[in-house]
Amino acid sequence: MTALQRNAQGLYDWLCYLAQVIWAVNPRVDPPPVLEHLAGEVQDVLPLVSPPDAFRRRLGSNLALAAQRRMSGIAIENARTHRDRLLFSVLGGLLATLAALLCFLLYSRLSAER
Amino acid sequence: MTDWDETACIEAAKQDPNRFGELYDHYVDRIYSYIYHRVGNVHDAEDLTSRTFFRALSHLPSYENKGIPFSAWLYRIAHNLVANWHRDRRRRPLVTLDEVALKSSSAPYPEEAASTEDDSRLLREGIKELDPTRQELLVLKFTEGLSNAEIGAIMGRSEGAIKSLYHRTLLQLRKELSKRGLQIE
Repeated sequence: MTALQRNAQGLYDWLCYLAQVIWAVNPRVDPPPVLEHLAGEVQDVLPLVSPPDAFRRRLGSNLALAAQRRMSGIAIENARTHRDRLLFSVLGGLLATLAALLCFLLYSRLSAER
Repeated sequence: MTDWDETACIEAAKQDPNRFGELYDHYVDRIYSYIYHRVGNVHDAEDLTSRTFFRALSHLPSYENKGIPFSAWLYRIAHNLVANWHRDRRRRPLVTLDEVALKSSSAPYPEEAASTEDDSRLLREGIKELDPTRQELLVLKFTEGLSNAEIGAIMGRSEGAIKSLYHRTLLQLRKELSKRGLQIE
């Protein structure tokens, strides 16, 4: 290799490096051709892999079952929530009545003592 | 499926979990493929794909589209499960694509076919030597065809960081291949 060829090779390597640096910091610049080619090669060895049909169907059915259970769970949960609200309301009403009754009795007793 | 359809589908599935099947049908291939490339075997790929979709079904009511697409949300679930899987087994992720890649060769002559297959094998070995994060980036970019922004949302990094990582990954891969005597020109 002559000195001229060596210099030309050095210049080419340096320009490649510069292109890579520019590409790394500037999203609008395309990748250098060498890396672009490598990217193409990588794409070829990383294909989209489909799941086996039996697995796909089985998982789909299991998810559908889980969804149904979840749906009935939500319905039961809602019913339980309504029932709980009703119970709390009745209980609250009873407590309020009891408190009012106690106050009334206490007041009556104090009035009678006077 | 358009964005509008997907949004409507997600909202419908939130109200009625029985509608989740449409989302499953749309994404199962991509999620399985991603997991398969990350774990390297069918058995674990099936197990983790199942867990991804069951988790998605149970967490769907809490999903909100805050600039992160639904697909990225799903990949994020898969990403976390795969990370746990690797942590549990304390082993490096494998990209065992031998079966897949050996299926076909378009080279017309046996010598050429052998040479192409040899190059593919070296390339797969080179990818295996990369650290798990870089392997994941390559899978998301090339197998799943996601943008840097989407990959960033899945991996929890900025778009710029992904771009930079992608560049460094290709450079490292080229170096690995040179060590094995494979020059990509």
